[in-house]
Amino acid sequence: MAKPSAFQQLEKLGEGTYATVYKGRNRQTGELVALKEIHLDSEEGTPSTAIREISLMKELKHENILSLVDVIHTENKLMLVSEFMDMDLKKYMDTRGGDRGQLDPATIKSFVYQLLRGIAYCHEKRILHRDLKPQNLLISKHGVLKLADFGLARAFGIPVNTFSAEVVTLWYRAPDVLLGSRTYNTSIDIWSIGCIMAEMFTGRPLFPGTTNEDELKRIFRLLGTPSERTWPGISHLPEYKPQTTVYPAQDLAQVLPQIDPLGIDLLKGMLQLRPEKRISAADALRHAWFYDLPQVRAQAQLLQQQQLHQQAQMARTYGGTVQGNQTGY
Amino acid sequence: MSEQQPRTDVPASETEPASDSSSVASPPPPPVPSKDPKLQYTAPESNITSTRLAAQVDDIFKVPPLVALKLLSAGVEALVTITGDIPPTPPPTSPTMPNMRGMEAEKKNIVRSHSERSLARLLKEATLNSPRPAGSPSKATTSQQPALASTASPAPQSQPIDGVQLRTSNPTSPPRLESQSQASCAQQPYIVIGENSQPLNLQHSAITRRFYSKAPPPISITDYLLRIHAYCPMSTAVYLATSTYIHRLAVVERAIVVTRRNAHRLLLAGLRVAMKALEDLSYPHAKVARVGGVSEAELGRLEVSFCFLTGFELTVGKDDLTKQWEMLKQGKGGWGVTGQPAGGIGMLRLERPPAARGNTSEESKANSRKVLESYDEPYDSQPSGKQTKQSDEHEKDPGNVYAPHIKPARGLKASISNPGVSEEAKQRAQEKLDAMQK
Repeated sequence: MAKPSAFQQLEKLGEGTYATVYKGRNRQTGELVALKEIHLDSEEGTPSTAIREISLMKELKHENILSLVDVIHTENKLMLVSEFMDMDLKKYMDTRGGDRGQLDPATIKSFVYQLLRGIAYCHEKRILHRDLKPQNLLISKHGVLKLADFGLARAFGIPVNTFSAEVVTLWYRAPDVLLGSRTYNTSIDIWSIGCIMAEMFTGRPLFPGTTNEDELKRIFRLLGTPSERTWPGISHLPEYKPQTTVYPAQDLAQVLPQIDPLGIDLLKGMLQLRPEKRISAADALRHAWFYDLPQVRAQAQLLQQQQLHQQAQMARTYGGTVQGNQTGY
Repeated sequence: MSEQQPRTDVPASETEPASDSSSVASPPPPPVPSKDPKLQYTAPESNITSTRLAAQVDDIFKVPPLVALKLLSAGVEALVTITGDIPPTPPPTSPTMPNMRGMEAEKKNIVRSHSERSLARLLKEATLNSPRPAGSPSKATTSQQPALASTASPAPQSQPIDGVQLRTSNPTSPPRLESQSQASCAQQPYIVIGENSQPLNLQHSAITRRFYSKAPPPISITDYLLRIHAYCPMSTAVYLATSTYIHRLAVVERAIVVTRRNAHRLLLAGLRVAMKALEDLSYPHAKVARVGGVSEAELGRLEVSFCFLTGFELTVGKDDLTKQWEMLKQGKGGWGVTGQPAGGIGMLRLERPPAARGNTSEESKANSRKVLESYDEPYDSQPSGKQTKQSDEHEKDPGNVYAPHIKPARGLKASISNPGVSEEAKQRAQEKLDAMQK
């Protein structure tokens, strides 16, 4: 029977609310790993964040999602062993970004695309991430982006009793959640991606609110204060209060001149106030903004070549002319 | 229009960098779903009159939690019945030596959980104060095994050869380290995680043992679940998920055998884990431990054991739950275990035979009866249910012989010495036992 791997613990990489992350090395293969140490609290047992994170990472296998290598249980802690990534997007922007932390458009496009691929996969598996933000996106030195930190993620579409509105870090929280909705869905992750995309262009968070109300105000100031007319049903949301100031919607292209028109179009789709009008991850991936992305172009070319090849082959098989059923099918 | 005014400073990133940068410096804390003040259990009222109907629906969103609970209970009962009365522990899968070791460690563990909890706390404090007691053999010998199943691990001779000291050549006198701060210990050049891990098969058998009690607990599976539901109601998804996990472990993977001796703990752990995995809010640990009749420390161990037993494959979707629901609803004996005619198994027996029932607590009996009375049509309406109700009293299958005069006393005795039984229950058992012996 295979003996489980052992890992050498190296320097500390960071500290989260419920875990400490160390760099580590697989003693058999020498491979670098990240070790997330979670204390097993005798008060509440295994933290639910840990249970979720592990179970969801086991379920999600995708190149844009951090993969879990092993889980080790010692007396009073759990050690999550995952692949090693060089830094998170926040740090990447701080160190590699321009004077204000902004990134160059080509990098942003690649990151947004990978982010959308990762989240599209989650949504396809009926899983919400619920805490997308730059700190939870990891970047490898080869420019690969992976979603991490699934402690708040959950499956949706099952008959549960409790659905919290205390989800997603404030700056990236969708307006429907801010208004207390408990029937939110995949669209809350898309809103976060919109916020992150804008942040990569400017180097600053798009809506750095201090409180729930402040966050809503900042959103409405940019996108216009919604009303029952523009958002039917909004007045029934638990936290809805009629706004004292009614802001008109701004032109995103003017507010964010760094972004090209196609990018603005995609961003508009992601930053829709009404959740049901927000673009889905799958649709966003097909947006024209990505057409000039090397991998998308390569894919398109491959597809085209395949089609040409097929046509050519068909032409050969049928001797140049397709005539009824003369070939032995 | 004065409303136009704020418009100008909207480009947050452009015009107000100064005011923004202060807030940028301190990003907001991550959200804590369970801290949502308005979050509460909005358990759909299980409309008793509609339960019969509910048993036929295909949409799991319309299944009241209680109906799901009943099916979970019936399913586990069926598994237990099929298993019959097998030895309390699974047969050794490998030669005796390693297993003996495991048992030894296990015993230590039991002793630890038995004796006052202060011991465990002392131990914890000791380990906390000196996180890596490199060479001190006096310290927490049982507690520092970095193996997955710490119970199964330590061969005595592996004790001094802890990877920590062997590799570090410089700090040759580790005891000195103890006086130093935690930080310096953390910087020790070589900390190895998972070094003493046992081969997986040994870990597995050690984990499965954790769920066994010496004798079947004196409360029937159904009563037990109803007791849990009375104090900690959970959702349809949680009940069906628990059923999915146990079914997968017992039938699909054959990783465990479900018997009267481990069913209760498996269910408790399964429910606890399912709730943590699927809900945004979970009951306090102490409450669940009290309701489940185990100590908090044991609940913690059961929980993490269950996670490893299932390999943390706890994510369930609507399809999984619907499939489970369909299977349970059809009442296929033993959740699709083949070779057993559904009618003969007693799939839908809701209560233990009378002899056993005499021993369940009055409270839980009244409790369950109340629920049962208001709700057992769906089972009665199924042919197999009727059949068992008639045959249940006398014709027990030979593998599961029930000697009404002997077993209850034994069960009661066991429950008194069982670490997993609450003080309250022990007292009750003692009283019953006294009465019986008169």
